Amino acid sequence: MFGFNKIVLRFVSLCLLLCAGYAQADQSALAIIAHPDNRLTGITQDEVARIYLGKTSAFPDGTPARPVDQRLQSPSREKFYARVVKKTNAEITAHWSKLMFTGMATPPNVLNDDAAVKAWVAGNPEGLGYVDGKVVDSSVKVLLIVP
Amino acid sequence: MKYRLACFLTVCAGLYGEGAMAIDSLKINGFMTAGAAAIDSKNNKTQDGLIEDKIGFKADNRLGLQVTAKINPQVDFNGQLFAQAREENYNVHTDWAYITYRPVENLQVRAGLNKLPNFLISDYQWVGYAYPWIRPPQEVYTQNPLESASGVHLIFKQPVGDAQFLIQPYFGRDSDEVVAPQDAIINNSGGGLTTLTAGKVGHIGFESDPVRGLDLSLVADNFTVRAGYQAAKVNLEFDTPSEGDNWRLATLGVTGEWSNVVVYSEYFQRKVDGNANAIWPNQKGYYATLGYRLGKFLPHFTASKLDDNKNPTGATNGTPLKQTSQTLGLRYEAGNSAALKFEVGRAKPEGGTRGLFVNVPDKSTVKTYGVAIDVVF
Repeated sequence: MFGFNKIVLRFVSLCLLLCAGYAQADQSALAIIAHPDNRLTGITQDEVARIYLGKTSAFPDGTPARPVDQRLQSPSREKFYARVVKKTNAEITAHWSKLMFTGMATPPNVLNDDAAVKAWVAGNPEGLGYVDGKVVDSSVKVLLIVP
Repeated sequence: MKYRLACFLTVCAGLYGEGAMAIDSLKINGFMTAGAAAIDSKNNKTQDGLIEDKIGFKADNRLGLQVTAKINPQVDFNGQLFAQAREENYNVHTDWAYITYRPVENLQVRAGLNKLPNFLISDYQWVGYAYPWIRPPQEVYTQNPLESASGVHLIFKQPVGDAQFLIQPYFGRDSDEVVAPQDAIINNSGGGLTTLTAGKVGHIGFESDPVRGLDLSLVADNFTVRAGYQAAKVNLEFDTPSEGDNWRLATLGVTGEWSNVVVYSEYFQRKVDGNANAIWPNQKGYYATLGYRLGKFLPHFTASKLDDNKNPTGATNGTPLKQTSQTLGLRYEAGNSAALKFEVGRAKPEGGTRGLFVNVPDKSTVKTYGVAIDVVF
């Protein structure tokens, strides 16, 4: 029994290592994170994109959502807009100029990097953010992994 | 002007100063356009006096600053300060300032000075970065001077699948100035008729009280369709006091982007009764723009027409202007948040009218050249 468990444990560790190695080779996965108290068990890319484009200000279950962005040069931001929102920087700027200067919606607040986003989301029950999968810990809840 | 600006800045400073306690967040954003333009018709200029037969900067140089303060999750304040080269010495004015209240997620109640959603881009028509042209097609966009009003504006949002249906009724009043066509014959306050001086650009004050309208739009991921109707009572400055002349404007528009194809098209009809018809004769017009995105470049072509809309002929009726134009343009994304634009257009006044110029041009088609850079920050 004990021996079997040990084998399973080793196997799992190996898998994790492989996964980590794979993820690193693929410039690592992106994690969509929320506050640990968030009741959702998951979220789709489309739902995340709608919140980040200002089309809704609520999570799919109706609770208010406050998304935060990362600064333009951040690698996580590049990945997020390319893979999840699927829009170029120019398209995003044009999109927000229309909404912002007509008072319809304001773009998400911008934080410096993964660490800042994680800390902010951990402290805000309505928070929503994206960070590199490597920085995730128990202070936040992962709603979606984007490979 | 200075006083209004000072008040505005004081309010902003006040909001900012108490920031941490009184408000959730305060954002300041801006937009700017710098451009040069010229026409090739000697001793002539565009009807608004902004583009002349030598290179000038009045038409497109402008700067706007927007302040958005979230007071609480339901209430925010929006204000926009705006300065244009066309105004003397870049006088700064408050373009809009209103409080938004959201009693429920899908309803916004805006009270204050609002921009009116008459055309596709009218509520952001000074934010050049947000559209392909240097200036939106003039055959349509110069034809509604009722751009803003003090009053109430409601925005209902109804999700329809992945799209949103927006219903926007508004009600208010406004007093402003309009560029007066110099061939207009108007009733002066003494009861006689006055012809404005030809070849000059004149301004006439007017009041719209009330102005009310309804805008319906369907906003989907890659296209927007809208229709609007506006009705107002207008009074010209020189006019004998009256109940106001009836003003009606109906508009239709569509814009979309599919793969790399960019489309904009709009149509309007305007009918104005009484003495105000001298300044605003019944007109209709349309344009269609087709563009194709090639990476950072967006070449585009626009065809426009301004036409008579069965204007009556009477002593004090205005002369409807007729013009067709074609414009070739190129937009280039110059890094983040900046766009560089080039345009060449040719306009042909028709039916013996001066079109959108001050004088009947010395040639059948007038070319317009323009270059501009737009930024947002």
